[in-house]
Amino acid sequence: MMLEINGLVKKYKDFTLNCSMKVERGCITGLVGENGAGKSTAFKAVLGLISYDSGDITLMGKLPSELREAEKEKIGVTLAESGFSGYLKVKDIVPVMAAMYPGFDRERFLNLCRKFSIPQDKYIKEFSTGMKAKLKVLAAVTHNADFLLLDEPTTGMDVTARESILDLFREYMEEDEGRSILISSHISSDLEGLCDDIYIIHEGKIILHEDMDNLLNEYGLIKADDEQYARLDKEHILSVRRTPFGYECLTDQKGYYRENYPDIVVENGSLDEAITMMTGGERL
Amino acid sequence: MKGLLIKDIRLMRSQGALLLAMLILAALFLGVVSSDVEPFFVVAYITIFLSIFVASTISYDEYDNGYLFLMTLPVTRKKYVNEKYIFGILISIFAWCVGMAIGTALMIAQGAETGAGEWIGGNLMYICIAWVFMSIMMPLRLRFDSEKARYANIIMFALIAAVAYGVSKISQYVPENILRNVSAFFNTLGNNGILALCAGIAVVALLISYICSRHIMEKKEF
Repeated sequence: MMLEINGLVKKYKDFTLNCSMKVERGCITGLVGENGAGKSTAFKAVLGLISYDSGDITLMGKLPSELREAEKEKIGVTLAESGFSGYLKVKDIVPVMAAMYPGFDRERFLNLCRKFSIPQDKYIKEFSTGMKAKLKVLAAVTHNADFLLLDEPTTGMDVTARESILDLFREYMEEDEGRSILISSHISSDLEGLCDDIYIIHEGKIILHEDMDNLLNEYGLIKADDEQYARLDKEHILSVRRTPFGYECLTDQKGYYRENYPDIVVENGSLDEAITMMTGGERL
Repeated sequence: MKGLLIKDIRLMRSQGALLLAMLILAALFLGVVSSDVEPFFVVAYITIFLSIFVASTISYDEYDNGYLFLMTLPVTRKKYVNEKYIFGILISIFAWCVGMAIGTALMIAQGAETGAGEWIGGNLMYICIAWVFMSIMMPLRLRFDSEKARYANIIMFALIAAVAYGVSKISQYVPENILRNVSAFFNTLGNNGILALCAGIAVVALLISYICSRHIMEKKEF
């Protein structure tokens, strides 16, 4: 197990995070949720950047408070609203990374910088949001880490850059099957094509954990009018939402409803729908 | 630690180079234009100002929420504090050497007749003063964000000034014989003794400051 969080509780004045999740070796696990749902707080707790009130976290077998240089060298991190000091240039970062990470691949990093059009002689504070995001990812994937913790890594990137960055993650995983990634994003399509499993977090709580294949193949959105809804078997309905035309229901067994209710529309599920329904609908 | 030092040296090189150039120019200007400016002042000025700049590298770490990311790198809280103090001491020594080179050049140009021992010994005192300043600023800077630290610095220096003023005033009310004894004590120390005493005070200040900084950093939430 790469990461295990059991009953983590972190209380703030107006927000409480209460979550459990795990990331298996060789897996890419996604974490989605709206802004302020608790994704970044979870990341910070895992990395030992904040204290927490109760619960257990083990990252590569260590508690966050036990993480020393040797463990941190094996982790690559990108955070949504934080990066290298804006007063540094890429050419300043290279020797810093080389001194900090024994496994830093300078040539690969510089090649990727050129590929992604990241200037070396410009202050980072003058970079666009997309450029900053790309730089953070490139730094995270080029020091031979075993585990990547990526909080909104593709924010601000255009579609082409996003696709190339997602390919980098896939390459990273192919290089060593013992590696893992925990990634959060608000762009569902990024996660759909990348993750093995997914957690949906809402108001500080995990409200759904599912294998991505299962979610895409078995989940469906039932669109029913009042009469159809009334006779619908609710056994496999996860969440219901009232619409002007009747009801929308999220199910994790679309085959069952397609077979037994041929007159009712059952659309294929997607991550976006799962998020919308689980966070906006009434959970059954 | 090496990585952090490289980062700070790089930050200093880009941001501090301008400050150093300004300090040197101002020192030369003062020394050449108004020849009554003591070369001692030039050394003090460059050493203390550049040392104070060390605490502001924490602001560069903090800029744009960068602290958070910095602490995800292979850096522990303890190593971060260690590095800041080592960097501070190195910079103060570097600044002192620069100040000495300029001050010595000025002294020779002005034809002053200060003995080498007095010149070097007197100037070593400024490193001690720089370390005391650094000892005060470092924990404040770690404890408060840049805006609050500015106020905290002002309050701290105002307090020091007030204490110094108070001490100087109190001396008027201290009985003559005690003052005489204190004065005699310092006279017996000699120049070297006073320098050693200052160095001792600076080192103790640094140690206390370091312990406070370690404690502050351990408790810090990012």
